[in-house]
Amino acid sequence: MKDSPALAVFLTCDQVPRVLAASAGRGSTWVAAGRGEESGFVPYRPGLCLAREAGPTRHTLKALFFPRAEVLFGYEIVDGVPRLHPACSPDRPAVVFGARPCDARALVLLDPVFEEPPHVDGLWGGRRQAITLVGMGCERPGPACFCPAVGGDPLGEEGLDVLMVPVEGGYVVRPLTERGRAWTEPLELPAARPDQEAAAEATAARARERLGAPPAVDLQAALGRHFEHPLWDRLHERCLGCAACTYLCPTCHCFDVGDEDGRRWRRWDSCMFPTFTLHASGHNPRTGGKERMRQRLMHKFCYYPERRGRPACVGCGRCVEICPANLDLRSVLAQLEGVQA
Amino acid sequence: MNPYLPHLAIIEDVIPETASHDVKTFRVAFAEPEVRAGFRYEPGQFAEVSVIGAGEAPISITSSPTQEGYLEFAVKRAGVMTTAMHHARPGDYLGIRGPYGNHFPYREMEGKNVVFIAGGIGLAPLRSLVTFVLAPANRERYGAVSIIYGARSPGDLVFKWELERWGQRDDLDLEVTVDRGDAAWQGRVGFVPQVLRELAPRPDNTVTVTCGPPVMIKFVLQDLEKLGFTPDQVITTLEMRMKCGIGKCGRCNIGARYVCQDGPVFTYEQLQKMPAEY
Repeated sequence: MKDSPALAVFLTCDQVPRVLAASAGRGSTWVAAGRGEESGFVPYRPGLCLAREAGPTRHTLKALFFPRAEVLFGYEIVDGVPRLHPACSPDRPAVVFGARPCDARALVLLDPVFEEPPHVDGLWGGRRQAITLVGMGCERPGPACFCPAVGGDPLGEEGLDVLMVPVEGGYVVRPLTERGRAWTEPLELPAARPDQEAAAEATAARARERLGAPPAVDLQAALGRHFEHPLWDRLHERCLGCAACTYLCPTCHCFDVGDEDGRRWRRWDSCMFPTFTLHASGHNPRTGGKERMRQRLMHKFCYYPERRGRPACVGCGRCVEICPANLDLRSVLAQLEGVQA
Repeated sequence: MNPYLPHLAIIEDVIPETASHDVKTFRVAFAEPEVRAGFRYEPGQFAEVSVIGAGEAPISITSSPTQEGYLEFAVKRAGVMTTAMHHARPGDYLGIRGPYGNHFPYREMEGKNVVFIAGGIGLAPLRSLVTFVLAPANRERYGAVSIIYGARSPGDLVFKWELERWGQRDDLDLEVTVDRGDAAWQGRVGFVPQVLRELAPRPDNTVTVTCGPPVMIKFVLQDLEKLGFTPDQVITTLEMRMKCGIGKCGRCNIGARYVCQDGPVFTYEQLQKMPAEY
C-alpha cells in the first residue's frame, strides 16, 4: 500500500479539534486520549482531551482490532437443530488518531499470525482494511521505552497511513499511503515549510538520542542455545504469574474460545496461566513458572523471529510499567544477552 | 471470512468402545450435501469438533479418506466438551471445522514395511492410516504390515470390532496385548514395549508409526533404537491442548513449531530437535 512519498502538510495545534471533527464527520474516529493509567483509544467526542503521555498510551491499539472479548458466532438450538449466526467484521471505514509508531508496528507483526493463508482470520483482516491509522511520532519517549532495541523507531512509519511529527506550534503531517492521502487531502492544510520539515528532523533526532543505540547482540541465537540454561531457574522467581504484562502487550495474541449465553466467544488468554496448556487428561506440558516465563520470552525473542525474521516485541515498555513485581523486561533481556555460549 | 464457523454434521452412529464406555466412536455426516462432497482430508489430520453450547475440541479423524460419505471420531470422556459429546445420540448435531494439521507421510512410506505400535486410545489416529494402507487400492503399495496394540485391560481395548476384522486378514500381523488379563482373556498379557522386543521387527526398509500414553512412547522409542531403528524411521502424532486449530491462539506450540499447523505428525528425528514440552 505504500508508494511514492507525498508532500507533508502542516497542522497547527489549534486546528486539531477542527480536524478531528472533520474526520469524525466522515467516519467513526478513535482518538488516543486520557491520562496515565486511563489513557487509551476512545471514540471521538467534542472537547476530548488528547493523550499527552511520554511514550504510548497505557491501553493498546491492538484491542481495536482484536477485542478483549469478541463473538465469533451466535447460536440457537431450535427443535434440536443448531442455527449459527456468524459475526461479521465491521467494514465501515474508520480512523484511529494519535497511535504511536510502536503500536502500529505491533499490528504489522500480528498481521501474518491472523492473515497467513490458508486460514485467514477475516475478523482481524476486515478491521485492518477498514481502519486508517494516523500516527503520532514520539517526541518524548517514556521512561520504559526501548523501541530501538527491537528494531523500532520513535518516528517509525511502519504500519501507519499518516505520520504526524510534533514540532513547535503544531505537527508536520506526512501521508504515507493512498489511504493516508485520502484522510489528509480533504483537510486542505498548507504544505509544510522547509523550516517546519527541519524542525521535524530535529524532533526525531532528539527522540532517538534519548533512547540510545540498540545492543549489538543476537538475542535469538543466544536464546536458541540456552533453552536449558540455569538462568531460567532464577529469572522467573519474582514473577507472580498475574499475566498483566500479556494483557497490555501489543503483540500478545493468545486467546481462549468458549460457549456462553448463545454465543461462541474468543477472549484474550495468557501463556502465563497454569491452565493455559493443561490437557483435559490432567497432563500439563508447562508445569511451572519457570517454563511459562521461558515460553513467553522464547516466543517473542526466539520462536517468532525464527518464523518471521524479527522479534515479536516493539519496545513499548508497558510490561515494564505495569508489572506489580517490578520485573523489568529490559534487565531480563540484558541478563539473557549476557549469557556466554 | 470467519474460519471459526463450523459446518453442521449429524451423528449417524455411536459405538461404545471400552467396557466402562469412557471411549465412544461417533460416525457423523455433514448436514449439507455440498460440504459432505467437498470435505477432503488425509490420514493423520484432525478436526475441531463442537458440541454447540458446550464448546469445541481438537479430535483426530479416525476414519480414512478411503471411507467416503462420513467421518469417525473416537472420543474419550475427559473434560466438559467430551462429556457433553458422550451424551449425544444418533440424530444429534455436532459442529465440525477442518481438516487441520499435517498428515502421515503415506506417499514416502510406499514400498516399505509398516509397523504400527499403539496403546489405549492412541490407536484412534493410527487407525486412519491403517485403514488407508489396507484399502484395496493401496495395499500393494506397501510391504509387510504389522500392528502391536495394547491396553491396560481387555475392557480398555478400543475398536474391538475393527481388531476382529484386521485379525482375519492374512496380509497383516496383529498382536493385541493387555497389561492385566481377566478370567475371559485368552490373548497376550504384557506391556506393549515387551511385545515389541519379543517380536523384534527388523529396521531394514521399515517405518514405524506409534501413538499412546507418554510412558509407553518413552519405552517404545528406547526399544526401537535398540532394535536398530533410526529416529527418521519413527513417526508419531502428538496430542496438545488447542483452541483455534489454525495457528492463531498461541496454545499448542513446542518451540517454534505449532502442533496444529506443523504437526500433529512428527518424526522422532524432528522431536529430538524440539524442546521436550509435550
